[in-house]
Amino acid sequence: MRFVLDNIGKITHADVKLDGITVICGENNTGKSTVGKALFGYFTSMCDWKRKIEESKQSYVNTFVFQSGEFEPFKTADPYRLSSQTYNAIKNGVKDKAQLYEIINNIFKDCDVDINTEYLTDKLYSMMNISENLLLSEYAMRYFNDLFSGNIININTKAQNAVIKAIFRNGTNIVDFTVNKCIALQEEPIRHRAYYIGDPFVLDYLNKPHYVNILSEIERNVIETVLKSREKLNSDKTDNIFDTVTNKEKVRRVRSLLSRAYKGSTVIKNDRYFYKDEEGNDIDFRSISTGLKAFALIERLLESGKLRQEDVLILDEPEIHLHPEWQMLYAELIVLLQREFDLTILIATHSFHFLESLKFFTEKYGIPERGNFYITRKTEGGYAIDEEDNTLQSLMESLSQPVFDLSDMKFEFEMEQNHEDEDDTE
Amino acid sequence: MKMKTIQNEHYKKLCSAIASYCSEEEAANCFAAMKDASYDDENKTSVYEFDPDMEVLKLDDFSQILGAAHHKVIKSKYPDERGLQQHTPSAVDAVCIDENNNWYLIEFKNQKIDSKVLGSVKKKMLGSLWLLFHTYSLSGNGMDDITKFAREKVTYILVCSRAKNRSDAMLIHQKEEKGEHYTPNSLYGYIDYYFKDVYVYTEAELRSFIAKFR
Repeated sequence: MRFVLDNIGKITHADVKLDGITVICGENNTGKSTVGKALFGYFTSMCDWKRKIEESKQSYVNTFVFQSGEFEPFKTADPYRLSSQTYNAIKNGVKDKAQLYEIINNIFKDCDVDINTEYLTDKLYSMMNISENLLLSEYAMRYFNDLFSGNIININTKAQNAVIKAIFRNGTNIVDFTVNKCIALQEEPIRHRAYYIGDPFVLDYLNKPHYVNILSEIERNVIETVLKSREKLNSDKTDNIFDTVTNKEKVRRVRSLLSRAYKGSTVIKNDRYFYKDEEGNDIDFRSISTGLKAFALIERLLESGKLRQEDVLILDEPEIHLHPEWQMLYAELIVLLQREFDLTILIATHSFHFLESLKFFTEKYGIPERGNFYITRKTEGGYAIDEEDNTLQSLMESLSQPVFDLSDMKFEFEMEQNHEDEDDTE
Repeated sequence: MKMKTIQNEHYKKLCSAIASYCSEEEAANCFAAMKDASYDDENKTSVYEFDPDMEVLKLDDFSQILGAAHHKVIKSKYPDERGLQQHTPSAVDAVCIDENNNWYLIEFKNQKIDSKVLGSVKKKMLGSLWLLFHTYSLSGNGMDDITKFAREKVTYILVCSRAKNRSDAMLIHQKEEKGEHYTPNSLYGYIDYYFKDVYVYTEAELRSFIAKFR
């Protein structure tokens, strides 16, 4: 897949290949995370959108059923049952407004609440006539507005619109934003979910789920996913890729690698998560080291069965809390996960060592062709990320240069000191 | 900045050995700044383009002179043989000797250092040793045990471009910070066997080397 952005956030233009492990490097504040955010927003809003729209419609029907009469809990007819009957009838097909009026009349005829049937018919008939594409567009607009805090369109260019394109082998999906409007077109259905892993501290919220709403949508996503999957853990093992027969060997390899950092295991007691260390001590997830939290997030996604074959994993500077030794291990884990589960992985990094490790492990695991490397470059009004001037070499240059600059400064300083000493001697 | 010249007696002895084979003009052409010795004809640029600079022996230039002179001798010795080819020993780009009689053979590579490149430098490493000792012995300055001398006194330095070798440059930098040198695995076998030491620099480490050179 190619993921193309125009005038989104700081990005004036980005065109990146996502068919394995895509790495984006660049200085701070150059739009690296924007690509990750847009990718996350794109997959999350477009994946399973028909179900989401059906849910919205159901909720819409609920709202107007409530508004059309004075229902009282335990005293009058159950509005939810009536609403559900109405919604199902609409789903089965309604020819025209008269037929809808008839259906509503039949459902509510024995109900002990006076219903404004005309009002309800009007509202529900308008809902029925809104195209799915329009609903998808509205949904995308709201989702991205929330994700980008209302600043979707690049404000430094004179562009009137911002565009996200996902180009697949069999079609192109487009989301086009103007200031108040969005048009979303889907040629290729999105079947896979995206998970965004940024700050490992979000793991703390597994043990304080009531506060999870203070997190941003993007931070909340992984934690809510893990929390929602908790009930299923003991009842439905088929949901877990770690336990499917076909994946056994792959799973063994990933587990074995993960256990080099995550040496203990996860236990859930009284709805709280603990890390059982090698000595058998149960440590509250909030108290484990940040480095370990980074591995725990991956462990939870896998063990809860949520991360599935061909899903999208977005990692924002994952190396940031890791010692170089664990950076290497994390890079190996990412490469192995990609190979075994064919994940689409997008990584933003500042680390030369992490980048080198990713490169090495893609070679070691026989998938060097699945590594795509990009660097941000300044353009008028923002930053671009595309094929131009993009080689692994240019990424390495960008990340290693400060080390050499410091070394050169040290040399110059040493030379100056020597000259001063010589002058003093004279 | 003024170019450094090597003034110690050991280097001067080498210079006079070289001079005994060449005309004055030829000998003058064999000595030049490190910048010139590191010049890459193909890319029209020098690997080392910094200050301080230092005058060194361009051993590959001297090898050409010696090869041509030897060819003349061969041609006169076998006048009836046709198609005689000149033999020019493979030699490194630069040679310098410090005040403690430590010899440094320096080879520049303005490209990515991969296994192919590392394989290709081996011929020059050994060719240079032979060439230097041969020159010494013919000038009447022969050594008793040249292999022992090489193991104790001669160091081979491969200087690669930092821009084209980012990963290696980081390794080199890290090693040098610790007071060690970076040696690629394939060159370890030459240490204590043919040479006292073998390692890789970038132009940045060479600059420090020149600055400290006595």
